[in-house]
Amino acid sequence: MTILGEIALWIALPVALWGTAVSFAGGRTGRGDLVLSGERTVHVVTFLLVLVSAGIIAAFLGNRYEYYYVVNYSNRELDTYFKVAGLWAGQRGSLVFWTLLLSGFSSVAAFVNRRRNREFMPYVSGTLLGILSFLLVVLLFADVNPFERLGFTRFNGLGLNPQLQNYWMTIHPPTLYLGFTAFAVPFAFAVAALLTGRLDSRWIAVTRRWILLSWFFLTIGIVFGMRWAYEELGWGGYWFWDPVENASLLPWLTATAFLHSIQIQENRGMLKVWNMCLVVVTFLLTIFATFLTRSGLIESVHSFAENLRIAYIFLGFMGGMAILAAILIVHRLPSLRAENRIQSFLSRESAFLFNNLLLVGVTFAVMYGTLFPLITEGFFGETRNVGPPYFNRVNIPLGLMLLALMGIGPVIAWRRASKRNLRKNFTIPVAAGAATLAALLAAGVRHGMALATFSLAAFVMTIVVAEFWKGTRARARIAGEGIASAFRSLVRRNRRRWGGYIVHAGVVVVFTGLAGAAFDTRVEQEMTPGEAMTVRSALGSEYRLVYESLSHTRPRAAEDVQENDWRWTALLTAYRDGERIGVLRPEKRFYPVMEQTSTEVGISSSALEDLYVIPKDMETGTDRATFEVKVLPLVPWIWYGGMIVAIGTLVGLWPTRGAPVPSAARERTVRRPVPAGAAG
Amino acid sequence: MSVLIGGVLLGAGVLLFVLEPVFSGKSAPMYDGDDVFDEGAARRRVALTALRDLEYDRATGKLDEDDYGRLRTELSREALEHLGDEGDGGRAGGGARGGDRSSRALEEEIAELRRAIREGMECGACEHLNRLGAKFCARCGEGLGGGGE
Amino acid sequence: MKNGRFFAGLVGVAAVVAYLMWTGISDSMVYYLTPVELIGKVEADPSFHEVGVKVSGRVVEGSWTRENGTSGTHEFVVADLEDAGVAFAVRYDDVVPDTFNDKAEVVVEGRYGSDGVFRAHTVLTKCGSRFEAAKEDLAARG
Repeated sequence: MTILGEIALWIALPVALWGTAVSFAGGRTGRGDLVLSGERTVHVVTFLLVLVSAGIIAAFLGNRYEYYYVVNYSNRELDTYFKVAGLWAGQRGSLVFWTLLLSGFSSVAAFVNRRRNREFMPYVSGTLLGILSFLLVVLLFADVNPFERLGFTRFNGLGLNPQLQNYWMTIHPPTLYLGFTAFAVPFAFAVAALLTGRLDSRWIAVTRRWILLSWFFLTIGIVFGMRWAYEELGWGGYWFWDPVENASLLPWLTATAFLHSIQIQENRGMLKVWNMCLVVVTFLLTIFATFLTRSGLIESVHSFAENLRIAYIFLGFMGGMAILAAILIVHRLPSLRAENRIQSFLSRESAFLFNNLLLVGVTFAVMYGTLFPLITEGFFGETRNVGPPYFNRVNIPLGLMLLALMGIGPVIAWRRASKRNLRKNFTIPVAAGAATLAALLAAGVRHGMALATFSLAAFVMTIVVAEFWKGTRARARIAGEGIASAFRSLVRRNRRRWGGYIVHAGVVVVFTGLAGAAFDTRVEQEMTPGEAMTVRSALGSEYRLVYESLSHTRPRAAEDVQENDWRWTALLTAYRDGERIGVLRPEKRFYPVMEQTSTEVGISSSALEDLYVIPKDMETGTDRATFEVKVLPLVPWIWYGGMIVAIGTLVGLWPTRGAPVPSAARERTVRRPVPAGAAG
Repeated sequence: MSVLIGGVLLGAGVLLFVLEPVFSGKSAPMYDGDDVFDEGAARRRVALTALRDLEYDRATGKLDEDDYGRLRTELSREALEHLGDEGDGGRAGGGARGGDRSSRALEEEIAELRRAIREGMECGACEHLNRLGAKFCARCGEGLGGGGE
Repeated sequence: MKNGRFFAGLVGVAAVVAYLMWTGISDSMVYYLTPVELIGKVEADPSFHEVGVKVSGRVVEGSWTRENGTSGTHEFVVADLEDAGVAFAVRYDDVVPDTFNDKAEVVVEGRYGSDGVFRAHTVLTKCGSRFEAAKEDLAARG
């Protein structure tokens, strides 16, 4: 099985190269046979990559410790679950996995469009196959072949890094990769639009759903990553401003900007060049996020391997793509002229424009901070670093401005809004924000940024809820429906709009959760079993923790087969305001094969806040242990908000009722819209 | 040995599948046929969607009469302009009037909305447009029919 | 006609971003040095003892001592990755990361005092070498 995977990898490269060549050639010359061959290539490459991935997984499951990659990321004691996830545990496997997902999405794109958008499709498959060929070249020739052999067989592998032995860590990278690779499809359509010169809003209408899909996976991928950091890194934080995290945030930021700016192009025929640039930049950032940060080019706690050759190869690829895209865009500049101009400063276009400027500003600032060591190295010959204070300083104010715009955008009219209109619509939301501010001040809150966040959150939330309420009520009155069915038909009639509002509501909840960090409390105490400690939360509850006992799994005698880990588990009973809320089991683990310890925190979550227990020190003989206990207000809201965002995105993604189906269209002679463009 | 055979078979199969169209002359469609994307139709749909939302915005009181009138004029003009565009494609001949299906559905919905709003909000006596759900006309005090309920 | 306001808006946003970045950098920028560079800098300019720096190096094997368990004060010696002869003592009062051991590659952040002791407020371990073993190492251990 494994050997078959290796053979498949070697077959895939020439096939992909052939497909790239015939797709472009077929598009240029109009030869349908070449185009068909190219499209079949897409599916074949996907099939071959499935074999490659299956080969790697088979090597993991079969404990094949003659393979370098398997030795490094597995051992006999590892759970089957983590062995399968070994496919994306390290750089080599990740590269295969990424390629697999990209080819899978390419296949879906080729299949869905087998009868439509035909003018674009040769170039779309050509572009996607070109990217795939590049990745296959890297896999085979850049010293990252996952099937590389050691030349001898070890009895056992080195094991998987303990920090990766976590549920969230097994689903977080695949989710992000799904988001990254899905974005290659809109990019390919943009390239096809540039090459064919069909630069109307067609490519956007066709790819809108892909963009949303990509955004959906990016968003939940980032949230999963935060969740992993929160549970696994054991200090009560979820975001480090670490280069790898920043890199996953960058394409999300530009994709968010893109999602908004395409609406201006669709509605007003403006910003065409800007949208082209955003799609190219976002695609390049997905490459940056996956490969450059993992290559050790920028130092990071996450950077797994320091294989700088890979970094230069990908840097070259990104540079080449950027130059090609720039040439194409410049070449097509005359066809990319705006059809309209913005009529007024007070308009939704204008709000979207500022949303884009701010998002690009955040992207630039995060990028600059992430690359700061490299930049200073280049300019001054010595490396300097900026830490989280830099990122917080820049991004919190900009994030708050974005939050405010999120409230303004939906209410302000397209084209031109009158001041009278603004007064009418903003009076109540502004009052709600001000009331929140006053209430918080009265309650003694003095943290500036938190006050700003909560007030703005109230402002935006009022607007979103009012939009839903007014819309539903109007629909109910006009169509004579009940509230529930009016709500449903309201959303169904414009999924994009109402889905977007749900996303906004979710983002507001996330912001609120983030601002909760201003009110963290922390106590550290050494205890022996039977002792108790108390922590007071900023929200007023009092937590009491009773340290019951310390137990440990006894390491077996040194045998050939060991446990994957040895555990020391503390048992604590938690009470909130005298009421028992549960048992916490924070843990220290030792991984004998890796010679590494790891800390598992105990978390007790309520609707408003988390109780977070970090075991710091445990003595086996006396059972004496030191715990750091934190109460983290509003952290659960980050996860709730993430879920709301995901639901909103799904609402926007859901196929629109009444989207024309091919058979229905044949009855008529009139032309039929592309289904993806039929949102309405 | 079996590995070699497996590899050769895999390679041959792949080659056959990929190259077959070139030899047999089987061809992928190069044009969309009647599925062509029409920029004019798309723009018209966008304008109509905006018009529909405009009606809702008016009904919910987000827009006052002046803003509503101005935007309605602009959007209707745009929708009409792109109706002309569709004719330029000139393929479907006489059948093209009225645009594509979803545009027509939107037009019908807008007409229905306007009627409902007129019946529910416009004062029968002085033609003043009242807030949705008002019982009496704000200008002349005449009782309103509440037709939409 | 209204382009002036947009231009002003654009410049405004750019100015805000630039201002925030500038103040952010001057607030949180630290030098990121190797032990060789650190010792060199301090010798050239003694006032450098007061500047916060980040230094990456390797813990000298056997140099790690701690008072009362993992959460007490840690002392260890960090040597340059390339020139093992250049080293300095580090003192750190908090819990070291799980991956810390006495041959780990670490990044310490703090001040290098004039008494020759580096007072760290953060200690991070770099996982690079542990995540993927060099092929030669595998041969030796296998």
